[in-house]
Amino acid sequence: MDWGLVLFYFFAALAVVGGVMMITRKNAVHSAVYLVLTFVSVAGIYILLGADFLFAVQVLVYAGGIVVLFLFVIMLVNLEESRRLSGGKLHLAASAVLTCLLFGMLATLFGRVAVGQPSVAAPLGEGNLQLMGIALFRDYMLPFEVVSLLLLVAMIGAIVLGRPRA
Amino acid sequence: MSDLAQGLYFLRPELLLSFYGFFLLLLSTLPVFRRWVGGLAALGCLLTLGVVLSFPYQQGMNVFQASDLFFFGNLMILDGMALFFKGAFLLAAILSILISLRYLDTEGVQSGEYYSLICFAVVGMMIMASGTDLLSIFVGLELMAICFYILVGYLRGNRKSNEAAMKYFLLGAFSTGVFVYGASLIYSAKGTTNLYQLAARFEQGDPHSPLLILGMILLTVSLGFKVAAVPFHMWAPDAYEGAPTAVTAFLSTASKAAAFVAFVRIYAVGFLGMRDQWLPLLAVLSVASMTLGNTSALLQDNMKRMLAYSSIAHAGYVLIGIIVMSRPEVDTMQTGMLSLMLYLMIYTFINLGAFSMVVMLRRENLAGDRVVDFSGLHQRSPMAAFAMLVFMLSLAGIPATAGFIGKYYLFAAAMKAHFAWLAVVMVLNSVVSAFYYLRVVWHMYQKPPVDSVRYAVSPGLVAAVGICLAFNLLVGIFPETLIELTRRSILMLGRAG
Repeated sequence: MDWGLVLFYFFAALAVVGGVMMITRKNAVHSAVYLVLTFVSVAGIYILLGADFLFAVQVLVYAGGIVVLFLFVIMLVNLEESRRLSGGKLHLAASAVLTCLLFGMLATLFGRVAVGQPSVAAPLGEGNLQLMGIALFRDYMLPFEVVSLLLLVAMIGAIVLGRPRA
Repeated sequence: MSDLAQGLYFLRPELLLSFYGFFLLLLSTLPVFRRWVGGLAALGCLLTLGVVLSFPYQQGMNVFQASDLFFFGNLMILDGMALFFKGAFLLAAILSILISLRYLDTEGVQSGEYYSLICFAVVGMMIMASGTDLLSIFVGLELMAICFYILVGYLRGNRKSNEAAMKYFLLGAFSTGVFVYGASLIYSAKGTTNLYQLAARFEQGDPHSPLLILGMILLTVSLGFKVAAVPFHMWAPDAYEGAPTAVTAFLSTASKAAAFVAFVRIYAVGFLGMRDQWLPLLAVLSVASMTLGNTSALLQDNMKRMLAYSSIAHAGYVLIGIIVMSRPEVDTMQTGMLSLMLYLMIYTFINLGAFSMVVMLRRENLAGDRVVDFSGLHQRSPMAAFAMLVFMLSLAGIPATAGFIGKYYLFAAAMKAHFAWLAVVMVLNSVVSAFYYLRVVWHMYQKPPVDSVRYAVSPGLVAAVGICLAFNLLVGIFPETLIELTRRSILMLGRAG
């Protein structure tokens, strides 16, 4: 029995369950907790792929930092029993039909890709932290630097939009 | 020259403008300089334009060898198309800054960050124009988009502006996710995100995998959102209406042009091997955008909304240029390229002019963005009415204006590539569009003025309108110079890596 595959299906199922629970909970804090479940399951999949750096980042940044941020916002905004989105029956039906259509399309497409066929993408080997560093600071140095500019702009935006009016 | 040194040499415009953005940010903290920041921003863009023009730009190939056009590995390229569009973005930025100078005072949001955000947005666009890898295109796209989210919501006291920024941000973030998902599928199918390598792998006869097709569809959705093509146009009318008018002008011209550069690079280079797959997709987008954009514009009473729908329609026209590029003959491809570049450059000058006029009508306590606000413009200011007349005729594509030249080349390209039906749809749509553009003209010349508040005329605005007007008339009557410039830029288009 291939334990890797079993573990993969376990984590994948857990991630899907977490995702579904997240969008169906009415209490925003519960949603956030289910989001953690999804993040951690995805982190498990990264481990199976041998991407230990991604695993660490996923747990630290997503399951840690970002969810804390979410919780802060939820506490600050003080959402009571979340108000139902007023969409109406027609809106709901249309969304359901479109979603099913999209799901069917994606399922057919992915079904045609042979399962288990190795991807062309380069597999990650041992010590992928080093590979990652080389990729980021040598091959993709320019986009990496542009991202720093992007973060700066986002910060300026937060200040501009958030400062008290003159 | 080492790779890094060459890269930095090629990156001079982006570097200069980024530093300039920081400089403006620092300067705006000193009250003494606050009044000068806007003017300095325009100057900075002008300097950067000088740097862009200083790259060797000769007949045929430029002095660099074909493979020397790449820099930073194969992430970026500096070919004629990149230079052409960098110039267009900078011109659009300069004109937008000129019309912002007084406008921001009227809105009560004058501040230095506004101008530095415009500079950073242009840096993002310039990176997109040079990007030859999905990754570099993506970071450029995001840098530009984040600047625009902030700029659209710059009128913090205005509910419409807040709503516009929120809608634009949410939908924009969604389209970003779609782009990354598409890129990841392409990577998993072909093992590269580099567009030239992707093209080479198609030539080696790799089978088209379903993943690749899905990835291509997702990228089309995301880029369709950025150029506001139907059915991904929902955000455009609200964002255009709510945003500060000067930002709308910049958004509808430069950001659209930047998204089209990415379109060309991705489809005409990377996905050339699957042209049979994307051709019908883009044809549907194009026809839908033209038809829906023009028919919706007929119903608008708000000038900014009308121009928003008109810009959706124009995105449909420009898509024809990309569709023409799906033809295998090099000659036809170049015609498509030429018409697309020409159209985007011309459209920039028309739309900026038209939005400048809307800015002029924005006065204290008077929004001035309805079509009826243009009533009696001829009576009150014949010169302004004449300028607006030219912009409207140009948008409609009447001969002797620049807009006609742009439409004519797109039409000719479509005919040459045997897409006669697309050309017919385009002409029919132009006829429909003339109706709502001429409605503005009718208001200006035939109706009495609705108010008597002085127009918000300022030296910057007059300069911007003057430049746009001169461009429209000159290119309309003597188009050879611009066409020659565009043709040369295409000859420099880097092909194989």
